[in-house]
Amino acid sequence: MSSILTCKNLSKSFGSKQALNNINLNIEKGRIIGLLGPNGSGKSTLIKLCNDLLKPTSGELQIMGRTPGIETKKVVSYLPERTYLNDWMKVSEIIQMFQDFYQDFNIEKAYDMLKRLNVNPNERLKTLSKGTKEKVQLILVMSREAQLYLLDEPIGGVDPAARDYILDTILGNYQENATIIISTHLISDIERILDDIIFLKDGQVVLTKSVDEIRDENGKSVDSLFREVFKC
Amino acid sequence: MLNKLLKYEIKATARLFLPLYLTIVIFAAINLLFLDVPNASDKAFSSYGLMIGISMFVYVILMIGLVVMTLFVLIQRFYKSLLGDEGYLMFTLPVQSWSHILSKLIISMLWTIASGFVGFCSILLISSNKINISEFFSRIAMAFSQIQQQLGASTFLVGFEVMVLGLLTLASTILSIYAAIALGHLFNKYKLLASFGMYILLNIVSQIATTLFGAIFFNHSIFTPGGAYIPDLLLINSILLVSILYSGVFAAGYFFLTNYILKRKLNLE
Repeated sequence: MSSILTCKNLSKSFGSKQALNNINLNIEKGRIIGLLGPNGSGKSTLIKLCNDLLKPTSGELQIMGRTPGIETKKVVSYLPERTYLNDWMKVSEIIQMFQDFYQDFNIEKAYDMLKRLNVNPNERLKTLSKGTKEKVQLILVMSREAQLYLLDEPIGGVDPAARDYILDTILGNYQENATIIISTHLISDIERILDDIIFLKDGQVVLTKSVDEIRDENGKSVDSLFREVFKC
Repeated sequence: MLNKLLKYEIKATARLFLPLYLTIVIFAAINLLFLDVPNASDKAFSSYGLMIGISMFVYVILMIGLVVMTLFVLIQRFYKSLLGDEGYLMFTLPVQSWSHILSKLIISMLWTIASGFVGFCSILLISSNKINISEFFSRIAMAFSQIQQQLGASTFLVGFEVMVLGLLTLASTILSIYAAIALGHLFNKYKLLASFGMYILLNIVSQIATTLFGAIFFNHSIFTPGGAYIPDLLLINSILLVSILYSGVFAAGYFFLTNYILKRKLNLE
C-alpha cells in the first residue's frame, strides 16, 4: 500500500527504437532512489513518462494509484534534464509563477536557497550562466513540498563545490514520507545519499537493490558495482 | 487556472507588441509632420525629400513587420512554449491541456485585433492631412444609418452576428494553425515541415468543405449574376447564422483535435 510509483510491463518506443522494454517496478514511499544507467539507457524516458510528457506505448505506470495527469502533477516535482526557463522572466517572476500554480510551493524556502546559492532574484534568466540556471531550476523544484521528486541529472552542470550544497539541499528539503528519484551517471557524488538503486540498461531493469544490501552482499560501493555491471 | 495562464501569456507577449505599436505610432506621426509641410513635393529632390522617403520607408517596413510579427508570435507562442523546451514547464503544471490552448487562443486573438486596430489608426493618422477625419467618420456614420434604414430594428442583431462571425472566423483560423502544428508534432522527424504540410492539407479540406457547403445551402438567386435582388432580413439573418454555425463547427473541430493530440499523444522528446 505504501508504494508511490508502480510500473507494469511498461514499454516505450520512438518509431522503431525501443527506449523502455517491459519495465516492472514498485517504488515505496520515503526512499531516495538512484536511477542509474549509461547514456541512452532509458532513464529520462522513464521520468518523462511519470510526468505525462510522454505516453507509454504499452503497459501502465501509476503514481499513488493514478495514471499521470493533473492530479499527479500536483504532487510530483520534476527537474528536467534541460533548462525549461523562458529567457525573458526575472528569477523573482518565475518564483512567483511557481507560487501561483503550485499549492505546495514554499516561497520563503525558495528565497532562502537563492540567498545561500548567491543568485540575485532580480536578475533576468537570460543573463544567467547555464550552471546558475540549473541551480534556479533545482531551487524551484525543491521548494515544493511534494510527495515525489523526480530529478533528472540534477548535478550534471554545476561545479563540484556546489554539488555538495545541492545534495544537502535535496536532503534537507523533503519531508519524511516523500520519495526522491535521482537519475544520474555521476554515481560516486550521490552515492552517500541513496537508499536504493535501480540499474537500467538498454531500456530494461537489470538490478534493483538497497545500497546496504550492495555493501553487505557484494562488499562493494555502488560506483564499483556499476562499473562491473556496465563494463564496456 | 485559466486566468493565471492568461496573465502569463499576456506578460510574455505584451513586451513584444507594445514597443512595436508605440514605434509605429511614432513613425506615423513623424510622417504626418513631414507630409504636412506645404509644397513638400517641390522639394522632392532635396535632402528634405530624402527624409520623407526614408521615414515613409521605415513606416512601411514597420507595417509589414506588424503583420509578420503578429503571425510569428502566434505560431511561436504555441510551438515554442508548449512543444519546445518550455513545454517541460507548461505541461508539468497542474493545468488541463484545453486551458493551455484556450489561453494561447484568446491572447492571440486579442493581439491580432489590436495589431489591426493600431495599423488602421496609424494609416488614419498619416492621412489626416489629406482627408478630413471628421468627414471620414461622418461618412461611416451615414453608411451605418443607411444600413439601419434597410434593416430597421434588427440592425443591432445583424451587427452582433457579423461580430460573432468575425471572431469565430479569426478563432478558427488560429486554431487551424495550432492543429497543424500539433499534427506535425506527431511525426518523428521534420516536425516543422510536417506542420506546414498539415496546414496546407487542413486548408484544402476546409476549402472543399466550404465549397460543397456553399453549393448546397446558399444556392439562392442572390448569388446569381444580374439578379437585381434586394436581400431581405430573413435571408441575411439565416446566411449569417448558418455561417456562424459553420465556422463554429470548424473552430470546435480544430480545438478538439489539438486538445486530443496534446492530451493523449504528447511526446516531448
